[in-house]
Amino acid sequence: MTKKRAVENIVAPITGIAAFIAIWWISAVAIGKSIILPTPAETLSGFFSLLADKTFYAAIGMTIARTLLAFVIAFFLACIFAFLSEICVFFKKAFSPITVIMRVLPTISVILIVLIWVRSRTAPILITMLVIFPMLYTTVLHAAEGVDPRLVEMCRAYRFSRKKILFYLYLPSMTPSVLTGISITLSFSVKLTVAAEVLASTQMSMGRFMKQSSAYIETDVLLAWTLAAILLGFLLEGLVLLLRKLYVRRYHEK
Amino acid sequence: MRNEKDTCFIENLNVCFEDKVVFENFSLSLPRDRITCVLGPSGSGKTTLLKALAGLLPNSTVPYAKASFVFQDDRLLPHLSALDNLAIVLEGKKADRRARARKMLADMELSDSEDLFPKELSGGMAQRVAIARGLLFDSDLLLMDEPFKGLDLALQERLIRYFIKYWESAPRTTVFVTHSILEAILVADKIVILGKGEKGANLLYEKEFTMPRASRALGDPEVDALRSEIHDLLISL
Repeated sequence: MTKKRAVENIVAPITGIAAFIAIWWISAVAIGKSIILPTPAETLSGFFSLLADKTFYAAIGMTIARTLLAFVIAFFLACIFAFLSEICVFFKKAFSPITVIMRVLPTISVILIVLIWVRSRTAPILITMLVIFPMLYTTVLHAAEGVDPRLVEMCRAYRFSRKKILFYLYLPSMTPSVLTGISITLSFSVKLTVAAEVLASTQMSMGRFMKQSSAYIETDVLLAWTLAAILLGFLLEGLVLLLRKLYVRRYHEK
Repeated sequence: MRNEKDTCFIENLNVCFEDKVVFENFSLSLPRDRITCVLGPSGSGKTTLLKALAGLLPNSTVPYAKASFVFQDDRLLPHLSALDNLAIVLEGKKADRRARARKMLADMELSDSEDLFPKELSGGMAQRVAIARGLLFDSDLLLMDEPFKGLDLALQERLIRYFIKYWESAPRTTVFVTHSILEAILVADKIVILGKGEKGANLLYEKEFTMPRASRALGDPEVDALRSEIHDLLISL
């Protein structure tokens, strides 16, 4: 890595984080009331005390499970609908206004409506699914549309079966852009699931513990849970981006 | 396409894109198991002719054959090795397909590259793999669309040699589109020139060329005469 790239890739992000923590610290000291804004040290201490608590892991585990379940279902449906749109222009045009409505629908409306319909245990899953579905549908559809038409023509010339075209051209070509979309949507899903858990007061969830700490004005604990949610989103997004990087390096980079 | 003993006939080909007529009642005969080179100015319909013969045009009226298509660019699948890019166009068990592909790569002197991905191949090597794919595919017709375009002269000559060497070991009816007169003279059994007419492409020139390929070289009076004849015709278009 050249010196310039090292500065850009390592030093710059660390500087940004350090500046953020410094502003936070100065603000917390200036306010002087940890009930309103605890210092980063107090938040970190709250985070470590959470780590010693077994329910912390159970809550995180359940939130991850809800997030991933919602994500997997939404992704599966997005693939099916994108496939139908790719092979049938009429379906694509007919489905287009529905995805637009789903995309512009205020998230809070989705949450409130779903909370009327289903129980608090399943509400976060359905809410996350409904909100991320149009994002994933668009990602998969754009990835399919981005497949090199010259290669599609080559496959047709050599009489590839549809199955062969799907597995040897479409899926591998779509993987990099789909993985980018997945990484963004996955961390967004964590935020959504937690927000839905807060409003639904879902048993054994990060959202419920956050709601409790807000009700008892335990700001340091609330921020500690927030830190846990950030790390969770960061971890999921990072894992997918790492996968993408390895994939692109193997097949695409000269 | 109608097949007779020594000739394949393309009859009454009609192709149009929206309002533009590319071919209208166009007919051409291709000597069976021989190479027909197609020359002509840009936009005269050379590539469209190949696509129509391969069945790649939805609005073409000519019955198409099972064809191998070697494109101007390599069009290799980026996620498959050179070997698998060849094996994938074959039918049968995987081991048999890979064995046939391996032999073809060896014939094209590409054995060392069989595990390389397209991004790891040089332009010339990738195009050689693409030609190997076209030759390996079991088809009635081999279609080549300026397969050596954009490559340096030395590489072009080497690739032509590889192609001729393999093609002569298993001749098949071939339509070879090129802009290079010399390339056409080196490979063709028949040369045709397409022109742009008011009602689509028309056949301006048709000539069988029977001189043995091994003796074709610049400086040979027959080669030079043919070269000037085609050059003058193309310049006048």
